[in-house]
Amino acid sequence: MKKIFGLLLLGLLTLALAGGIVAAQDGPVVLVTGRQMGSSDIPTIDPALAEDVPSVQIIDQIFVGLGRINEETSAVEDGIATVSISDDQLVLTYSIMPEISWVRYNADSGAVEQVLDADGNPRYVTAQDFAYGILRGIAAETAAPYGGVLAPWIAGGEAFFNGEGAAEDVGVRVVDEYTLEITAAQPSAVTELVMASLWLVNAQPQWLIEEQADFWINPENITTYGPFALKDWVRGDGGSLTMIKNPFWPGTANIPQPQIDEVVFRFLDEEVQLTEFEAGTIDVAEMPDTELERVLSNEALSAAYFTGPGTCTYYYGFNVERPPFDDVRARRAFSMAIDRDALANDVLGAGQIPSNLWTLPTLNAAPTSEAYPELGIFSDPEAASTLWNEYLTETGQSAADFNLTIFHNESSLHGTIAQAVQQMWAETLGVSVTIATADFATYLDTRGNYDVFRAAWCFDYPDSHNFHYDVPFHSDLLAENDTHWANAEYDSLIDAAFVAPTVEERTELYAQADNILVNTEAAIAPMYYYVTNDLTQPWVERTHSFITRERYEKWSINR
Amino acid sequence: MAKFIVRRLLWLAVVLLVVSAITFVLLRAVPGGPFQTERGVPEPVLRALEEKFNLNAPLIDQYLKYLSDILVPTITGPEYRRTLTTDFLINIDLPFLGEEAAFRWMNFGPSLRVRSRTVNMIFTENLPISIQLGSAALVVAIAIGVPLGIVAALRRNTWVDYSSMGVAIIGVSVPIIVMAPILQYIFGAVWKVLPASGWGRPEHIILPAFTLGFAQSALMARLTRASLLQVLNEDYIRTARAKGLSERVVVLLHALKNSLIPVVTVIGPLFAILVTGTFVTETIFAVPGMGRYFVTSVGNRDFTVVMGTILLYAAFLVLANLVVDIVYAWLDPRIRYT
Repeated sequence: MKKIFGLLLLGLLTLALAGGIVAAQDGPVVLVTGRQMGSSDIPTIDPALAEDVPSVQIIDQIFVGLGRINEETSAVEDGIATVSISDDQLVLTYSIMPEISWVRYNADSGAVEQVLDADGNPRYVTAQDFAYGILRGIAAETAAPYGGVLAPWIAGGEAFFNGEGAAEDVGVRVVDEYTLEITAAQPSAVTELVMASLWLVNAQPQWLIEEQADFWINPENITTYGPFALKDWVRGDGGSLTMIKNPFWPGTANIPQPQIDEVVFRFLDEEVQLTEFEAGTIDVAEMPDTELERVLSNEALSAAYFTGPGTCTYYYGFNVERPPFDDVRARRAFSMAIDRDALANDVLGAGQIPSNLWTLPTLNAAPTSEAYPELGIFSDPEAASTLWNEYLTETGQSAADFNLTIFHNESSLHGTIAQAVQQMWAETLGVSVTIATADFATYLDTRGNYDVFRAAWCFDYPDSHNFHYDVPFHSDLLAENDTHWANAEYDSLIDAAFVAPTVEERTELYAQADNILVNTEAAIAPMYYYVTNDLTQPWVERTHSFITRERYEKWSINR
Repeated sequence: MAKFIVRRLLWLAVVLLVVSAITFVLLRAVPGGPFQTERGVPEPVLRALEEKFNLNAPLIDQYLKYLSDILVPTITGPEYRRTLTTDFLINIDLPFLGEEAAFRWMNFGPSLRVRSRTVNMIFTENLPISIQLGSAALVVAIAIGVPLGIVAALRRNTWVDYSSMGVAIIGVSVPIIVMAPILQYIFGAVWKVLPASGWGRPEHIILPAFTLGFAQSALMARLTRASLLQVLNEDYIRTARAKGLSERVVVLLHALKNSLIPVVTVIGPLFAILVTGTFVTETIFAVPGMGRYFVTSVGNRDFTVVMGTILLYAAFLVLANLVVDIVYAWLDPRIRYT
């Protein structure tokens, strides 16, 4: 018996040593970063089909859009093209940089190579490639999850998306090899920003997609042109995706040539990322909120810690078709009874910011609490109680008549918040509240049937319009609005903000709309803004993105 | 014996059919679908997706189509192109039928959620990893559990027995979800002798295989001990000893073989569980196996992936039990199948 154990131990040690030697080898400059996946894998890297943060992160690096959002300032800047906008804000003319090569990684030679056409000449990214990509994204048969977000911005886009209009009538025109003209559906100052941030607006290789169909994004096929190319993609939970520097990317002022040779995304849960980070095997880790205390009390970890604004607002939606929430007084009372400071600081405590408004403050044209300190809903137990009693007296009911349900998708975070809110409502309003949960798919399908549901919204493009129109509070999308709330004044403010020419005017309109949504009508109770917490090893020099898209071409490693 | 095996294989077909029907019905009975998002899916997109994945047909037609895609083989010519909906598990070239002719069988369909992957790709890329990890874990479980059980039985009621069973109790009572992060942290982050997570190099398998195997070894140890104790009291053991055989021969040759029957009974289903992927272990150690697909595909309502993984698991379970029955006959000469 002893022999067997001895041998096992010896074997373990040998393997461990071998591992150490492998890890110590020299090679290209590689950055390893952790990524927690919602499910088990990066779902796709197809610009037309992507809908989640990890997918968009990769697409943003292997493709480059016409314009681009600066990751630190959220300003619109040049991508692969410079833009000129007509005075009536209807026509956007993009001049694309000439001779940007389509490339692919060749696993046999281990190098990134130019893609050649049938005549043996390098293929360059053209206006036609962009026109194809945009139309592909909004064609109904592509079934692009974000096709419906992009389509309404382009003249003729919505009709085409709904299968009613023709592709020829869509306002995307190839002027010449390197000039693309996009006609907006309505004059709006936001069109340029939307074109720059939606990942569907990327050149896509028509010849390859037609040949390989759904498999065109697989590593052995995919053809791209951004600062990085796809090298390898191990699918599944615990897998990884590796990007390699594209030597044919010429580098621009905004998008330089990468200094890092390879970027490896490892699909790891946050807790595992922290362990790997402490082992020194990954360079950047996302951080589990629950570990904040330990991280801050550890010298090395707290030096690596960074916190910045997130991209989402957490809220509770009231079902305005069910009593008591069919009455605005009840909605306001329940919203005012939530102690947002206690929630953010004591219950959550990882830097979340209590929110009195709905719109995320980092967005373009967003009304912020600094600029509008009086605006929005404020936690006020006394006022809440008064208002609630007024409602009860007038309708001849008592608090005991109600047994309300908060509905959330299964997660310990949502559970903790729901319990805190349950207690606040019981103490302030005397209402007994039960908590119901379900898995995510059931939750999405049925949350419109409960009294109160939890939800969050994370922006797709950094403009306030995304928070007021694409999230379905505008009555255009009433069928998808699980609060079932609609308000004509709110609608008209959002419509006006959409076309208002200056940021100041738009901000003012969104401020009024936001106040209706969360205060005077209180269809939802905003609770807090998310934060982004991460850890970076001292040898990594980096930028911090506030738009969930890191720009690794600006990073470097100095060991 | 041959007849027995054939009969059991026929039963396997029946079991899989019933399992597929029940799973199919249950999946469609729960709320939610594969294409839902926070935003809500626009009508044209939903129509296009349902069209593409044949989800707008009557349910019975969908089920029959699903079955026929798997069961009915096809012979394809040069026009064949592998796409999401035409990806077969078994592809055999038939050069005598003409160029590019091939026999193709078992199309488990595309993943509805990850739109560049089929269930067959999950089987061919992720299942082998789970099989490697599961087999290694089983070896660990047997290598630790059985000797521990033997030692405990032979030194019954001594400190050897108590400490062996103590180890076994730790294995049973400390769940993997606790054990795994502790081992990972100690070996990966503090001592830095083993990779904390990942897959691809030989040393990656050590921690997950040990974690998984150790938990199961406890079961093995207790079963082996109990069963061996019982066998050691049998008459034929007394006879063997009376013949003057050495204790070593008595235990290893005569007693152990017969006492393994309960252990083998457990190993069958255990094997099926381990090789088709273990969610917790694979997730914590970031092993790209099948484990997470089992769980996330249900949450995602990824109908085809759920069906595929469940059928695979059922097949493994039935086959593993068949092997167990065959091994019985070898272990105990009194067991015969007709």
